[in-house]
Amino acid sequence: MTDDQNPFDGGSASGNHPVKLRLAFDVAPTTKEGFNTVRVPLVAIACWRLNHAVFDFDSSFVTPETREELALLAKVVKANPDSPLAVFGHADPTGEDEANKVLSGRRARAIYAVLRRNVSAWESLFSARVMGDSWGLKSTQRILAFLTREDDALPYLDGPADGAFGPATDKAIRAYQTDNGLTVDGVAGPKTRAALYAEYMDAICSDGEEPFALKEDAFILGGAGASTKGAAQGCGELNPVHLLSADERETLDAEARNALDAPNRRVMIFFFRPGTKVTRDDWPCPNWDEPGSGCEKALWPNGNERRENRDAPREYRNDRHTMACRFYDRLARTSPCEGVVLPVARIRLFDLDESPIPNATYEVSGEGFSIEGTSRDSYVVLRNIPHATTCTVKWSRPLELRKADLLDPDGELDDYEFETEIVIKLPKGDDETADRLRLANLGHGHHESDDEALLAFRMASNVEVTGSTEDVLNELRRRHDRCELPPKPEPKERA
Amino acid sequence: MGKHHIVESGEHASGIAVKYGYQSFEPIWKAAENADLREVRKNPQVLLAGDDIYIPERKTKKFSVTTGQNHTFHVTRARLELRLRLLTSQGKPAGGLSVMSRVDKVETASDTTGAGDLTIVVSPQSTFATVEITTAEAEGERLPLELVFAIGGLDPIDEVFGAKSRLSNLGYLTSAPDDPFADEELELAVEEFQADHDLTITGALDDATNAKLLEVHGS
Repeated sequence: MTDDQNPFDGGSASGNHPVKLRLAFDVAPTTKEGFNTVRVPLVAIACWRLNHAVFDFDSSFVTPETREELALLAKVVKANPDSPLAVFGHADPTGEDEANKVLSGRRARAIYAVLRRNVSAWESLFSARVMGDSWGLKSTQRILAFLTREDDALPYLDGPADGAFGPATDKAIRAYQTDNGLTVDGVAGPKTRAALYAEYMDAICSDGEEPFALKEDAFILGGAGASTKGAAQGCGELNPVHLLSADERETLDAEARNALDAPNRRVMIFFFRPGTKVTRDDWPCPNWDEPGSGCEKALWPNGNERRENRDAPREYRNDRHTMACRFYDRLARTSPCEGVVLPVARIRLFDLDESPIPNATYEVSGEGFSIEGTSRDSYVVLRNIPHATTCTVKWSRPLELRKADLLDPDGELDDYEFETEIVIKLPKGDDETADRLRLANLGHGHHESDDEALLAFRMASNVEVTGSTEDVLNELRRRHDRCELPPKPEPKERA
Repeated sequence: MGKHHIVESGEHASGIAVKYGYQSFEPIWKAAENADLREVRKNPQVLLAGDDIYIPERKTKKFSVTTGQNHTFHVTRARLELRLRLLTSQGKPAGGLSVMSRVDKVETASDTTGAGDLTIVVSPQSTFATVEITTAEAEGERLPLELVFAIGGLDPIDEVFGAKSRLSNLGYLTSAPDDPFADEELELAVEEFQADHDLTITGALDDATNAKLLEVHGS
């Protein structure tokens, strides 16, 4: 399981961020003047990314292809019912910053409008054409080619969605107007468009069976009046996940560049911790239709340097220094939807005398993966493990040390000195099962009762307990979740 | 004859003082034998596991009293507090926030001051305090945000773990609470802290960064 096998391909995705609902802080008490400053962070707990390919080039029209992605979104919403969300649009780095800001904002707005069933927001995107983004007759044709007539279940439009008005389009519009009690004139005006949009939104935005829509307070800063600040914003080209090399940027033709830039054209939704409240002042993004200058305060001081094209192509998930906006970068940093692969298990390699081995050589293999190497700090990191799994770990001290131990200097060495099988389970939360797993992971899994295991942990880790079992459990969680090793009893033979 | 105490993870001066029968850590901290430790650690409430602290023998105070009367003796112990300054996600003071704090099973409801400050009185033996942020609009379904404070868990600033804890408290190292060893996370957190405080962005915990971190964190 290496980074190369990461399923991230720039397509759509959804997933959970690795977070906790309880935040732990190390603090110092005081009898004098000291204090502890603690920030209550904004934490994204889940995400959804809309596949770049579902938008037409330079367009914010939400195409029928979005349907499957929105069904995926319905699942994430269902799994995180109390999490307020925010929509972020992104463009690729071709074109001017400001134009890209506008386009990405309009894409975010278009997705927001589908989720809110806000037909008039679509109408204004249609009528307020901006630069390349013009919905035009083509968008109406695409809707008519997607929606079906009630009597024969065939699409209204039997012909190409090419933006040219011809007999097929005329026929389709008239048929739709007839079916929906509109004035039949063959012209898709505001009233016809409103009916089309409403029906189309329900058709593409469903959980697979039933249409799904969101209330205003499902969005962060939602319910705060007419402004939709927070709900939808455009990041323009500030936050690329894939950067071309300087050479590619110079020499490739538009089509090839466009293809490589595809992962950057995306719409992201982040879901925040349930009950998250922010104030307008605490939301650094300008509204979707405000200029990009509003982003300035949220940018890295070296933001432009971060997103520049260099000698080699760069990926956000490997390089992690490709985004200009700090605020967004923080949200994306742990996001599987931005391709970030997280370490989920760390194995520390110990010697027979229970001390960690610096520069240990190792091999870890399990279902469908095998990694090997040398670890400077004696830790092996297993990334992106999707579920509980069993793997075999083999490891050795560095070769020189092993050779020095040999009685016969020319003697043969085994490949590895140590070998063990480990079961990786992922404790989650603070319930009994998770705590049992923590105990097992710390080597106290073989006891007859939980109390006994807890006692063993207490003794082995020198926890002095004056309080309740809950105190011991808290200490267990603290040590396990922070990979903290029990302190070694020090010789105390002093005067 | 005094003794030596080897500091364990989570211990602080006040807790150690009580363990050896002292009402205050001052006489311990000020003992000549602890001069080196004072120089290195600066703050007696922020010690490192493994620190060797000299515990001088307690001086017994003698009182001459008469029989047949009641005598009142007062013992003074400096009030130990956990002082917190809460910030919003964008680093502004979280003033007027309603919170429920809990320490040693005692619950106290209060509001943060305009500067976001909250003071919780703790005992030298208290190991944890929790602060639950309650919002007026909170509904049953919503999970309240719970902040758990490990009292005495803060390591000295010049230890990487101590710097990490401060970065984490200040909201810079949020991405992987389970993963304190990830160097790349730390680098990004340091960069962001440096950006916020007009320091040169190096991503490394240099002296200037540590000094600023200590100042901003407050301990």
